[in-house]
Order: sequence, then C-alpha cells, then structure tokens
Amino acid sequence: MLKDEDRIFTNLYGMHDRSLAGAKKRGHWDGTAGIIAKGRDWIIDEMKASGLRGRGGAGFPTGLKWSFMPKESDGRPAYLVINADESEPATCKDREIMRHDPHTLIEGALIASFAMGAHASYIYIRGEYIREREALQAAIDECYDAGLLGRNAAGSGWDFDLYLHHGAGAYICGEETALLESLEGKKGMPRMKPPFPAGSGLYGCPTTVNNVESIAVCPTILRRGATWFSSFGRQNNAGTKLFALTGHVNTPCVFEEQMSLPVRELIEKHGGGIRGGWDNLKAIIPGGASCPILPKDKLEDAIMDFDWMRQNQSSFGTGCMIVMDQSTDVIKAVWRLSKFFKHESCGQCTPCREGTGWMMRVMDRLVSGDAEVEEIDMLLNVTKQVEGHTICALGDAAAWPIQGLIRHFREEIEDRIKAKRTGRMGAMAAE
Amino acid sequence: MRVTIVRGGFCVMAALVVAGCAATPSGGPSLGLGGGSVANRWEQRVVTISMAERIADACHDEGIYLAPSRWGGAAHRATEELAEQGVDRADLEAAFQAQDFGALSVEIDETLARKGVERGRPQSLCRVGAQEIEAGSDLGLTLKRG
Repeated sequence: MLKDEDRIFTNLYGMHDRSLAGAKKRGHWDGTAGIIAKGRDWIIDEMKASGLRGRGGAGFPTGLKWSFMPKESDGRPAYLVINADESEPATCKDREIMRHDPHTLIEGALIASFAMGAHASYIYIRGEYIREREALQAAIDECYDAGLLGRNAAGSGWDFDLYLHHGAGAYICGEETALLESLEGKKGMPRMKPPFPAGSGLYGCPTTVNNVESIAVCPTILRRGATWFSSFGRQNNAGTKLFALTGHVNTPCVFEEQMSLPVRELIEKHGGGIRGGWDNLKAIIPGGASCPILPKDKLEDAIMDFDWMRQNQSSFGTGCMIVMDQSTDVIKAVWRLSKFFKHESCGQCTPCREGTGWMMRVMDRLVSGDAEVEEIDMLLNVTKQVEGHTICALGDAAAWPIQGLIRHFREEIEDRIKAKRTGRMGAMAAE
Repeated sequence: MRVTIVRGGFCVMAALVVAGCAATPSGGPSLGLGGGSVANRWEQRVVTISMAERIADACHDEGIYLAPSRWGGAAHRATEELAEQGVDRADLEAAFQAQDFGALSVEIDETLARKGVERGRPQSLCRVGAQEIEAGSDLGLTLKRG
C-alpha cells in the first residue's frame, strides 16, 4: 500500500482544512515561484521524465502534450483548459480533488499554464458539481486575495488568471473539442481533428486540454522530482493515481495508490473484498463505462495499468472500476450503458446517432431473450461499423462495452435466448 | 473566542464584530453554536447547513451559493465548527452516533416548509434563501450571493 508520505492528495476525504491556510500546512504552494523560475523547458522536461500519462482516460503522456504548444506566440494567446466535466459513469475521482483539495489544482494550473505560455486558464466543471464549484471558486477567490493568482502570480513574475466555467450537464462536453465549443458558448458538439487544439483550440488559439488530476499532480511531481514519481508503477505506467471502486465491493471508495498493482489487491485492500468473497466476482469494468468488460477468469493476475488493460482488450480509462458480483445480470448492465450512450450522443455523426439507438434496441431484446441468436453477430458487426467512424470517441465508447460483453459472455446471451424459447426464462432476466 | 448567539437561531453581527469575532471567509460563519446541549447545538447546525445546501443546490443559477467554509458536508462541517469552539470531540462523536438522520431529514423538511418552501417548487427555496440572506440569519449567513 502507498505510504502516507508518498500521497499527493493529503485531504482526499475532506477531513482537514481545505482552505489556503490548510493547503499550505500540507505542503501546497511551497516554492511555486521557484519552480516557475526554473523555466518552461525544465518543467516540460521534468513532466516528460516523470512518465505521467493523462488521467482523464486516454493516457496520453502529459509532458509530451504540453510540448506541442508553440514555443513562441504568433500573436495569439495560448490557453490551458482543464477538463473537470467528470461525467463518465462510475468515475468520481476529480470531484474529491475539487471539493477537498482544490489548491492542488489551482497551483497546478498556474505552473502548467506558465509551461505552455498561457496567461489564462479555464476550468470547465460538470454541471451537476455544485458543491465542488463552490469549493473551487472559494479557493480561487482566496488565491486572488493572497496574490497567488492575478498579476505576478505567487511572486513568479507571470501574470495568470483562472476562470471557472460551469457546464450544463451534457456528457459529450467532456470530449475535449466539444468542451471547447461549449466554452465558446456554442452547442457542445465535437470538432473534426485536425486542426488539433494545440494549433487551433479555444477561440482559434493554441490550447491544451488536460484532466483535473493530471494538472493537480504536477506541482508535487515538480517539487519531489520526476524520479520519485516514476519510481511507482511499471515502465510506461508510472506514478500514483486516484482510483475508485464502485459496485459490489464491501467498501466502495476513492483512494490514491501506485499504478500497476494487481486488480485483486486493489479490490481486497481498498474495497474490502467482493461482496460474498472473491469467488463471487463475475466481472469488472475497469475504468469507466466506456471500457470493455473483463470477466473473473481474466482477473486472477490482472494488473491495473494502461498497458495490461490494453493487452487484454480492455482499457484502463480513468481507473474508476465498476465491480459486479455473480448476482449481476451482466447483459442488463451493459444494456444500461447502451441506453446512456444513446441518450448522450450529440447526433452529429450518423453512425453514432443511429448506431447507438440501434445497438440499444438490440440490447433490449438480448436482455429479455427475445432476440435471434444470429443477432448477436449482427450486433457485433454494427459495433464495428460505429467504432472508428465518428468524429469523437463516443461512438467507440458505446461500442466497446457491447464488444466486451459478446467477447466474454456470449454463452450467457445465447442461454437466455434459448431459455426464452423453451420457456425456462429466469426471474432476473424477466425483470 | 466564544461566539455570541441569540436563541432562536439568529446571530447578531454587531455583537460578533464588537467581540472581535466577525465571520471569516476561510472559516465560514461560526453560527448557531451556542445554547443547549452539545447534541442540540450540533443538530441545529446540521439542520441549518443542510437547509443551506438544499437552497444552494436549487438556486445557484439565481446566484445563491453556500458561503465558503473550510469543511464540506453538513455533519462534518458542524462537527469541526463546534470543535473549533472548544466542544469536546468525544461529545460531538456521541452526538453523531446517537443521531437519527431520518428524523433530522423530516425536521429539515418541516423547517423549510414553515419558512414557506413548497414541495415541487424549487423557486420557493430561492425566495426563502434570498430572505434569509437579507435578514442575516444563521441560515442566511451560511449562504452567499454572487
């Protein structure tokens, strides 16, 4: 288990004072100007060396992303946009940062913005996060009052303004280009890429969009050194990370742990084990609703990191795991996700707009057992037609859970169809 | 420094200022913390914060928010505020453990109803919130505008 002295988030559960004074007592805002004095190149090199990969789900190396921003301005301002639109079902880690440890994020925003030549940064916070908005805005106000934001922020010589923007509840606005559209006051619909945001993002200016956790960890990485951070986890999967466990564990929680620990260890140490014991485990969805499901037989030696999950046809995502025990109707669980994605599709791309509804309707029949067995492959085929054929990743996100279901639970689907035909339909499936 | 509290849940800001104890933004208002047993004081503060949360949830678009506090969550915040006033943590823990939160929820509903909140009409929460802010009551000082 991660030692207390290696935790970046020291007020994750809100047990301590979250104000600026409290944050300073816990070591935040310590030597911020000194970090900035080391210069842009040093900061970006250090972030690259730390091996930090984006914590929003895609896992793109953070330092590399920062390095894509123009070194010299062509006259346009640069922006850092922080994606706090944490809307992925089961993902609730960033909210703990924002409501209990907001100064980690604000200090990170200043340092990251300096490294990318941005004098302004926007935090786009999820519409439903009302308490979090209040806590974060209060922390921002405190920082302005203390001279940590604004002109000569934190005595660094860098002028920096931080704005908090409240979303309106659309899942798609967590997609970085839809987020930028929304921030500009337009309908939240993803943009075609290229141009990428680093070339033309917010208001057509160079922009980097980063997840809350990615930004909040950077001050501690820079204070303690890239070597310290990269000493956790396997190669290419470095660092500590906020994880979450939801569903059929005894103690659902959000916690900070090092990368690359066994899934079983995480569940047993932090989640208090599976309800009814390890053998009662049926499956997990590792990192948010869009990640393909993994059955128990894949999880005995599973490692919770980007590479293991990719090698095993799933995805690490946000590291916020949905755990399902044997009582779970896994077909219905995935149907529910299909319904969610259908509801949240922005409708811009035909394969997504039509495909998510089509997939959900077939899933309806799979849940009740009213489908034909041939429809399973037909459904799989449709997911392949949606996947990779849309502007943003929502189409992929809708397709992957279904692909995972068919990959690992085909027999259960077929059994249900056969049971319906023969009149042996179970009570659960008939609900 | 003890806080001057007027029974009935209203705090006189002038008394606070005279006592050199004006509410600080970082600490949040130190309100509703006097009078009665520890359990009563704790419960009253939880009720006030919970009502403020409901109002802020419904009225953030109207520019009504929770006033800043060093702690989040009604029970935790009430506990920390009272502990800061010198109340023994063991007594606060006992109050927490003995609390019937179902009954507390009913009390919150009833108190809001007495203040004029109508079920199913979120706008009535905003009206009450605005009135309480204007009056500078415990509840009003737990909220803020803009």
